[in-house]
Amino acid sequence: MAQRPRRTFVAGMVVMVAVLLSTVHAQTVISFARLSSQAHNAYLEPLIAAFEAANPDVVIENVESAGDGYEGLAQTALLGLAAGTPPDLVQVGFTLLPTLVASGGPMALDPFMEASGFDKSSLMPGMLELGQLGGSNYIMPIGVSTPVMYYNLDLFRAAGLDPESPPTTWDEAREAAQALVDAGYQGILWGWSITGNWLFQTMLESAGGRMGMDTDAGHVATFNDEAGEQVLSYLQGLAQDGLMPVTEATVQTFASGQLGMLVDSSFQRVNTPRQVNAEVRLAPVPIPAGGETRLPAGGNGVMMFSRDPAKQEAAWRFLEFLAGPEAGRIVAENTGYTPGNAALLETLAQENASDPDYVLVLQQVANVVPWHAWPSNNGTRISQVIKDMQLEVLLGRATPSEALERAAAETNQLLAE
Amino acid sequence: MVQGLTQQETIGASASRRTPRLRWLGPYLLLLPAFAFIAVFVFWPVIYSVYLSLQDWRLGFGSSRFVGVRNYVRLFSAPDFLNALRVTVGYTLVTSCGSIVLGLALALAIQHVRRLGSAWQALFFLPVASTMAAMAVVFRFMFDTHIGVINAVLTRIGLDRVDWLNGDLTAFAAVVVVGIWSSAGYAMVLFLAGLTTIPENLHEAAALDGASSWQQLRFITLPLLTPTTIFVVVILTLRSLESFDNVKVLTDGGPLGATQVLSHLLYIEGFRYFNTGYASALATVFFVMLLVVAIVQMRAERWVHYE
Repeated sequence: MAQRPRRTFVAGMVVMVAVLLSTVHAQTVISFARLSSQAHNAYLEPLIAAFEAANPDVVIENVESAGDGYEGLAQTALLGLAAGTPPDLVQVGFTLLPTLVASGGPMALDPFMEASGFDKSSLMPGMLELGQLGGSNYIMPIGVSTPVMYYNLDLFRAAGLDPESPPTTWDEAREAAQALVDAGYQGILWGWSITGNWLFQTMLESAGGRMGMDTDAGHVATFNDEAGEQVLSYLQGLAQDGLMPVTEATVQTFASGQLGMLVDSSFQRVNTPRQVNAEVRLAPVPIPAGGETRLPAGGNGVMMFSRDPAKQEAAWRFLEFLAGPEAGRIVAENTGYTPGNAALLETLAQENASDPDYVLVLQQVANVVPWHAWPSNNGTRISQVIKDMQLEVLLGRATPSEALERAAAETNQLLAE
Repeated sequence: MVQGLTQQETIGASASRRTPRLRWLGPYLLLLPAFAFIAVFVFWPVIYSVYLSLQDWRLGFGSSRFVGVRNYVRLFSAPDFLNALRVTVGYTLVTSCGSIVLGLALALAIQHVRRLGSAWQALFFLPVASTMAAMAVVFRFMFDTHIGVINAVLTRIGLDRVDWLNGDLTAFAAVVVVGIWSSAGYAMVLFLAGLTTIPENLHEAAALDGASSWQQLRFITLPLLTPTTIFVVVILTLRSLESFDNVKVLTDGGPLGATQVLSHLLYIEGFRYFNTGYASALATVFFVMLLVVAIVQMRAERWVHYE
């Protein structure tokens, strides 16, 4: 009689182990190199959790980034490629697209899109273009950020400015900055240092110039024109008159509660106002009188590096999930990124009609233009040249035209290499 | 001798009789693990880096091209390399001299403190034990023009704000100050150890002869401390030459290259611009520089009298 329960027990154990083993085998582990600061964990962790809940056979493993920001992630991908073990998925900034594609590492997503019947029109027009190169898609966008102006309502009131009508032109912004400085505060900080050229492109293009190059003239940078000089003269004037602090610590300076206006990424829509001990609101980036609003799309997406078909299948499922409404909602609610899903954007705008900051960020997507990615191995170096050019001018070490000429000459040389 | 050997062989029993031909192998086998470790983790990377410096290769790319010494030619004609070389030499000289003088002063002061001497030692050694990158973040905010505590103090006492990290000289000074802050404690501990080896009776005899404190320092302490000093100079020079984290966090080599040291330029070329071949050429030149400094300083040690 004692034999029977024991036999049942043993049989039960065997079945359990078999089930466990089959589950272990059925799970595909894909590695994901991603940003992991507090602000980025805020949307990435729920995204991964939601995906894993819907796809219990896939486990997403976090890969530590080798350095800061998007460059650190590119480093992680390239180091992995050099060692023959790149992460299956890598979060990337749009401007690093040419560098990473040139490495031969990332997979074109088109075959996966075709095989799964992916509906490209579910994304906002232009969203997929941000990750396209040579006619192929390489990046599935998570969301785009756009330049936006944060302003401190308490300081506006203290300086006698109307918090309901923030400045809309460069001249008005300068006048408001002067009023703030006269009241004992800091004026306006244009986040000139963000990746070196993001806000420069914003200002340049709103003044009628274009970031890019004239291919007919033989790969010559086009920022060295009247508009470029107008941007640099404006910035130099602000810095020299003490209306703009020259610092790269943009958010921290604004969080100190002494800065009236900050032009920075909408990504911080949720985080930045929480960090300031004052009422903060968002406004469109001021433009020159008679200029047009053109906002280069910042933000990021995910690239696939897997070579193993099983991992590719699981990785593609994650990328497809990112394009859907569930992922888009997670991104939109936890950050200032605008997700790509077109249907979701309309719903969000209706749901949040009472939150003007939210609506502004959603609406700005209509004015998005591609963030210029230099078609060269020297892209990151060119961004540094443009950043140095702005710093030279802000510190008063060169006139706008001298700095522009030098930076353009250096850029042209780097483009020719 | 012959008899002794025979006896040993007898004692060694049959096993040792079978292996005398391979006995020479024994020491090498014992050395092998350490040698293999050093070969794989020290020599191989150096050799591979020299190999890469002769290639046009970008990190992670599938193909590379042999370019001979082109990377070196480019390097020595690049203004940013020559600037980094100048900054590195200046930074190393000022930081190592500053750390040594401050370390010695602290050691001498602590030696004369009757109470809480070890507490002071621990206090000044703390920066050496702390993580430099984390400390540099704190310093970056302390030096910030608008939200930094240093300028807050300056304005409180009626002085003007200083734009620390945007001026060439002030940014350089900030990086040097943090470098000295992190190394002086190290020099202090080594000097304190050196000071204990100087016999007390020499000072007593000198005092009896009417020597002042300065004369005792000048003619007894400093000469007898020379071996320690040479050692400290070697260690701190190499430490300063390799400084990276304070520059990376505090200034990122700026403003406009004013604090661009070689190790940081190497990082930027290799890991921001992904020019691995060019960065390897820079690494090779940097390696040779460090080697030359180490050899010169080791030679200098021979001139020192240890007794």
